[in-house]
Amino acid sequence: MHTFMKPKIHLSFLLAAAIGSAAAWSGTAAETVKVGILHSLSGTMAISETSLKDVLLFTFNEINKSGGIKAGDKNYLIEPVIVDPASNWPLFAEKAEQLLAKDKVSVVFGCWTSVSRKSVLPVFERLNGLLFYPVQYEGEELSKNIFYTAEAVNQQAIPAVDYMLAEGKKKFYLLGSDYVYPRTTNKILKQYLKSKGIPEEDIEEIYTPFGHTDYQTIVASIKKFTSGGKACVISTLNGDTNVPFFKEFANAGLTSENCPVVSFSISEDEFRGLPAKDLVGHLGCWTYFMSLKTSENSKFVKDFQTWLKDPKVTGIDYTVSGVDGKGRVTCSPMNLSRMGVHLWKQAVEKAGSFDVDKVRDALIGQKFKGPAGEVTMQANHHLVNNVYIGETLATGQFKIIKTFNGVGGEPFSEKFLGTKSASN
Amino acid sequence: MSRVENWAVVAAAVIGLVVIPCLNAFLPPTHWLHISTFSLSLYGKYLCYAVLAIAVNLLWGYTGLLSLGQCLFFSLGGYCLGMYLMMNISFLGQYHESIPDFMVFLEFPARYPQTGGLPPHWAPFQHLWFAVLMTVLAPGCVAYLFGFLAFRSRIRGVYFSLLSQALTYAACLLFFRNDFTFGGNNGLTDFKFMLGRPSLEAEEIHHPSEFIQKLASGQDRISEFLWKRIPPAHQGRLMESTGAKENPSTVALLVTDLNKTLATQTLYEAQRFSGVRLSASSQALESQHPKDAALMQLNRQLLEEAFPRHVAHKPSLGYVVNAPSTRRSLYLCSVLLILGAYLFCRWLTSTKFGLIQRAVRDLENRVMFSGYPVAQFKLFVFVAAAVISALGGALFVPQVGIINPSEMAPEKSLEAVVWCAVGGRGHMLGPILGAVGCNALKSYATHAFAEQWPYVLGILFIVVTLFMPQGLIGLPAQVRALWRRQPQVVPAPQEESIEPPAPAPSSGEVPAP
Repeated sequence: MHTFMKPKIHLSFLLAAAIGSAAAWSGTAAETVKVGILHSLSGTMAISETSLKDVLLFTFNEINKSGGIKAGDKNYLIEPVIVDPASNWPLFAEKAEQLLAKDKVSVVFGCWTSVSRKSVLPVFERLNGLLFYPVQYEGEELSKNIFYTAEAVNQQAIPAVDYMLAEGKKKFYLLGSDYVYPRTTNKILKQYLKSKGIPEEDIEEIYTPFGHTDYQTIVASIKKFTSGGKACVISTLNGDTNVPFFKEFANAGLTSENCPVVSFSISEDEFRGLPAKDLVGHLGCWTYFMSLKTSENSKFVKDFQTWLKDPKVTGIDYTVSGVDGKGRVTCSPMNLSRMGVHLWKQAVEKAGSFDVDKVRDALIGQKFKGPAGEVTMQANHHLVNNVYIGETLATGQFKIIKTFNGVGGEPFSEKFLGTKSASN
Repeated sequence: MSRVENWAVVAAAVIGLVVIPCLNAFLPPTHWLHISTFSLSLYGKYLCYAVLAIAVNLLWGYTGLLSLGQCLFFSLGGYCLGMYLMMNISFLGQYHESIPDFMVFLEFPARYPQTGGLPPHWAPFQHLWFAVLMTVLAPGCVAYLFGFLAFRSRIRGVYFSLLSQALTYAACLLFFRNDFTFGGNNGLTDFKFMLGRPSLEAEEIHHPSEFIQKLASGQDRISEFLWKRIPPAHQGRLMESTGAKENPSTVALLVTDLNKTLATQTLYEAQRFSGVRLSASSQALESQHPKDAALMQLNRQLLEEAFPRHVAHKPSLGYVVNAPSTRRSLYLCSVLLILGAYLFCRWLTSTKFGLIQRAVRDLENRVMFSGYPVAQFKLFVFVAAAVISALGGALFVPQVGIINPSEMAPEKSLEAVVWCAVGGRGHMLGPILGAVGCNALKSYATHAFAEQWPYVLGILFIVVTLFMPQGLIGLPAQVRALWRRQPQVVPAPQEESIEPPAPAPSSGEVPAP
């Protein structure tokens, strides 16, 4: 399914790397601080995670260009240390330890899948490292060594369901890939829907294995489910499986009119590899969309596109390679990666030091006005963020149709289910 | 060759068992020869992979069975030991429960109410002996069953390879399922203790009624501290039980609540323990301000010392999986395992059995018509290789800290075959060299050339397969042959071609497998 070794040999890459590492040896004038990037650049997750590596380098460049990070009375430029954990979970733990123990990086930005985060968590706790995790996830975890800029369940699934309820939907079909994020999300949603008066028989919960392609029976059952009207599908299907699902969905005569699908795992970046035409009219829910009309966002998108044409990290001898500039977009995980870097920078400047314990304390309460509005880091290591619901367009972009302002992320479901939902 | 090999093995054993651990343990971290614990664990991981490669070689290089699913057995071994480690997380998970985290959020307590959420087949895995037994038995049985069916039906060659690959892929998909009770996609991770654990067990509480009364009375600061951390609803239930006959469920309640406190709080405070005589070891531990797992061990020790009449003394509070000394021991176990696996395979292939094994590889039909039960020979080798792989997997898991179904994905087994080919199959040391070399290179390249390393490794594999049919281990012989041949080519008088050539040009080469 995924090729590990590409047969093409890019000698220029090798040469560039050789020159780059040689140049790094010659030493740099300014003070630098090492920052780790722990994203898969090969293997199954590379297609998603490479974009995050790019946006991180872009953000480092942004910070270095404006003079770096002021810690104490010195200015530090960011020096990226990139490793490739190759979508291999034991390798994630190895590379995390290498970054912390050997390279002595001050902070690490990385991970996409939950299993990769679970794999590195013990390493960060043991060596007292700092990790920023930028991708929507299932919660039920709170490590003092991890800052979750990612959307928690109550910043994505709960607002989406609230929107559907407000639209008059009465029946909910919860469809997901069989792994931890869909399982947990759906478990929480079921409890939430019941608390909103939706009876058990109007909630259906189905899981399909990874890479599942045969959605005929499931779509048939959805069709039956929607027969009374007022139904919707909440999809936590991941990656490739979305293609056959939406094809089958459209073939069965189901549309966003009679049964809208809200997906939590499809962002603008996924549409680079996913045909958007079968998804038109269906919904997405994130804390950022590329189509947001704020001055910060248009600057972010423009700067990023410009940077892609000439990717570099200003101020240090570092050669950026392997950046593909064609057809690039921005998406929520990319925005949240960038938010993480800026929040960390502000915290370092407040603490006046790169010391993990001091930076951790300083991070709480940090605010940053980003492309999707102001974010605030809470004491529970999650962000207060605006949540948006968007309608898929044929271009692979989203038209924003609903905004929830200032939703505070909460990892543990009993906290937001016990009391009233934070999104109202 | 054999004498060189013997010396190489002895030297490697001395370096692996003595030199490297000493450099890690006795040199200060600033010394240039110091080997960090990180590197040590990395070597341990390479050695576990090398054990897997030995098993692949035993099958492919010596018996002609190309198994493309050997990682299934490696992972099964890993899962067995992983289950043992998960059973000993001892309240240090995210939810601070006695059962692993994934069982809590998948609502196992509702599925298995009698055992508090623990699936029945998990329970015996809290014992190391059982986990080790299963490490051998589970993969052994799977291999026996699969091998029995495959060899009896005379499935050979490429068909056998494809079937073995299908088997591991099927298992991979099965383990991905959350309903299968092995942690689904996230697998097993965040291990804390081995060979014991600091948590309280119900039978370790003596005179429970008296103990509850002592805690509730709040006479001393420790009792007060511990009692305050028991939820009020539980306090009521505990108090009710003190007058009546001892009830195992209230003791279990007390033990769970106390364990949660031990796992999450710092028990020691100078004032709180002013009336308690602390042992020297507790004092020494306390001065290091331990965290996480080590803190829980200290807490347990302090509890024993504060309540000598009520809390039993536990001789072993377990070893913290991530502690440098534990990791060193695990590394040493890996060296011993690979030595054992190597010596076993070397002995096996030198016996008459080994001769038949190679005969099966080279001309299976002839061996069969000579009256040998070929299927049984193959079955034995297949099961032996599965057990060797499983032992490697079992030691792999505590050193890397995670096992999940993607370790069973077909490409992992293919990788193991590639190590074998790169190192040189059909030779005892080749696969070890290949596995260690390839993985060391991968570790280095994913860091030094993060964006280009697949090209680096790809070029290496192409070079090896094109120009080094005997792999790395055959390289010296290849070079020697090349060097010997050259002076002959230059003078080569024509009449000499009539006579048989005196020195065979390929005498130094290892016969092709």
